Amino acid sequence: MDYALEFENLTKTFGSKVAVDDLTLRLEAGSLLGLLGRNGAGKSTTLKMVTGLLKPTRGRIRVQGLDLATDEIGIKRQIGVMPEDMALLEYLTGPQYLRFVGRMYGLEDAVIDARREELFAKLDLAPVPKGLVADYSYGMKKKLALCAALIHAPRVVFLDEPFEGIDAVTSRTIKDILHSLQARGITIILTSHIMEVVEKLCPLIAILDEGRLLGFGPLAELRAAESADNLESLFVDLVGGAKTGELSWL
Amino acid sequence: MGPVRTLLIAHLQAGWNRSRKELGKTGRAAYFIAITLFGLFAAVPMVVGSLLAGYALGRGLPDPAFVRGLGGIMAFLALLVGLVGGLFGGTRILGWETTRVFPLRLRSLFVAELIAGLGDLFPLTIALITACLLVGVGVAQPRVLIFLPLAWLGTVAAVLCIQYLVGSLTARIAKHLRVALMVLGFLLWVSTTLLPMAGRAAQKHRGPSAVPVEVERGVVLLLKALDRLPSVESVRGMGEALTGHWGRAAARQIYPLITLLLLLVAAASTMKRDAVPQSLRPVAKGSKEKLWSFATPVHGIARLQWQAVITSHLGRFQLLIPLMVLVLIKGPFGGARGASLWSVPVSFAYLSMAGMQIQLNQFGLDGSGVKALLLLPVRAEELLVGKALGLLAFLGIQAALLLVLLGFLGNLGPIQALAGLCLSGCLFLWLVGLGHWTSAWLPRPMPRDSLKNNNMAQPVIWLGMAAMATGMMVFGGIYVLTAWLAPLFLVPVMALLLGGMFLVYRRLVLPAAALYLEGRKEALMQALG
Repeated sequence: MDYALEFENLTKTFGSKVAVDDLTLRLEAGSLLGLLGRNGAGKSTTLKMVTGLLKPTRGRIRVQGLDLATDEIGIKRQIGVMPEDMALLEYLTGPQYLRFVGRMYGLEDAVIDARREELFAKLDLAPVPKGLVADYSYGMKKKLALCAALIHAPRVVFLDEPFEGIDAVTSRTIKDILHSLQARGITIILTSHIMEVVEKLCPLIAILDEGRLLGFGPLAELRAAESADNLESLFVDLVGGAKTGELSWL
Repeated sequence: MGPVRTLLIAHLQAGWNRSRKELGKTGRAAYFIAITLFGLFAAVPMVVGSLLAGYALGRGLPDPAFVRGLGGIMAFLALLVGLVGGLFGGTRILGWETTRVFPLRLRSLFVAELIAGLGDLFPLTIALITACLLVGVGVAQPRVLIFLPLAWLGTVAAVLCIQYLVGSLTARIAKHLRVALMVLGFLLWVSTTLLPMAGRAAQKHRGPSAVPVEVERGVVLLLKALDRLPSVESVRGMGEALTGHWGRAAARQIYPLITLLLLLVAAASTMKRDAVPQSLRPVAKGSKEKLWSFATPVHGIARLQWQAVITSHLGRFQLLIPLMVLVLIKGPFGGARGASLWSVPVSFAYLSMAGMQIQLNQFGLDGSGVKALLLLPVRAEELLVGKALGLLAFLGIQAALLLVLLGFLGNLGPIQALAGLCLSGCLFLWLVGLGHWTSAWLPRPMPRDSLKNNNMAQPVIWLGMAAMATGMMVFGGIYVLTAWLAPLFLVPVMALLLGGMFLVYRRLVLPAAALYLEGRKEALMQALG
């Protein structure tokens, strides 16, 4: 069976530090996976490897049946990525940026412009005409990055902290968009530190800590296995508990 | 620990950590070897030469000629380094947005920034040369030792202030491109039309015998100007001390100190003004936005690179370079010998040299957007070709402008124009090929809305200077030799050279650089993100 996404013994080391440790995971098309982990757990490294920004030390990545080692460009055509830091070309205007990205994926100008209009309307993104991306607010940049990740109709979407800095109304719209993408068989992998959002949105959960996969499967199954009340408890238990919040000088 | 010391330590630690991270073990070893070699072959002769020159000038004190000589050298070095450093973005300042959140006085920031500026290559060199020069003076005349630390500090502080002021001024000029073009155009007109006209009129009026009188008058003017320099006044004070007039010696230090104080005040107020964050850019009139399109990914990257350069202050400033070349060639160097042979290669070499910052740091203007480029379904080779094409378009505009201006002023025939373009192409391929490597090896973010803080990494500066010198020697040498020995073959020879360079670039440099870039993606994102 061809999975939408496969990691096989995926490992990444930086010198003696193991960032991702022997990660094996398979996702069927149309999955919506919440990838959780503390800071430095290996989430971003994993996303960087699957998007071709980092070379794995060991292991294999396949996206839509394509092997990353042999067809990186083919895979890039199939995926849409919204990095946590957004990574936009700030000296372009929003529409110029989307035109650039769309053309790089081979879309016609008219198609790009029509999709842009629709995305801007859905996400309430109304930039000042000729305003550079550099002058956008944080939330506007986040929305634009989401537009760029979706404009070429990818089959697998990676979203790193998509709800950070986004207002509640747009947040709801993004959730609706993600559900609609999932319903059309598009695979979505998102990371977030907001447990409530992941709990409500993602049927599948993967928890990483120190590069290792601590848990993977449907949320209900994981909670039952760990006897946890909610996702936050499950997560905190799996990664070894949280420290108390008292400070000695306050 | 005081705030100034804390800021300086932060600068030092940041610089050290960055070089450790960027260079790695092998890089550090290679850099150490390069610095040692430079020390042996350049720094040692420079130190010894400065010591000897200082000793010779010191022995001659208080003779007015030696006073002018020592003071003139110090002033010339301070001005030259301040100008070059400021023009090429050597001014080092902290990220204001970061430091503004701390409860620091602007005065502390200013002092720390000024001292930290010594970490740049040019001020560091000037500090060393001046120190050696003054040590030589001290050995020759131990009685003036008390004035030497003051003279050294004054010169170094002046360099740092001038560098900052020039940097800030060029940034403003780049912002107002039209004004800058008008000023340069006016200078060009004065140097090419008015001055020769005035010279011819004076010659006609006085007859041929008037030339020595003119020269004499020029020398007198130069001496008068030298006498008014603060550094000359400071050295003159040392001369007074040697003759036992200590009161007059001290009084003569007042003028240099006041000048330095004025420079410091000017630099501090400029820094204060620069510290105010820019308001949002005004929106251009008209609501219809022009969206560009392209046929292939390579063209897209090229268009993007063009956009990045042309909308940056650095790029806009570089559009002024052809005019500056003309002002130099028709002005200060207008009367030099053999201008018909060297003016074209030197003009194009200067043009290439001015573009080095962008050519050797090709992802610098993309900043954190480099990740967006690396995520696109584009091969590394396509990315590099796109970058090269974008830079070529920019250089093409500059070269065309230079050719038109040279032709308009009668310095250029069609043969020289074609050969000059070929030479420019050779230098471009040479530098852009090297730039593919250095851009992935030691990338640095370059601010788009400022000329400050866009210096390349130190090893890249050294490499760039060496590459420029080599390129100029080889390509410029072939141009001059052919123009001199076989002028009819100038165009075919230069075209052949360009063809050869293109083949080497396409077949060897590009595939290897693309492979290198593939392995440096993470480093690029870390450095620019």
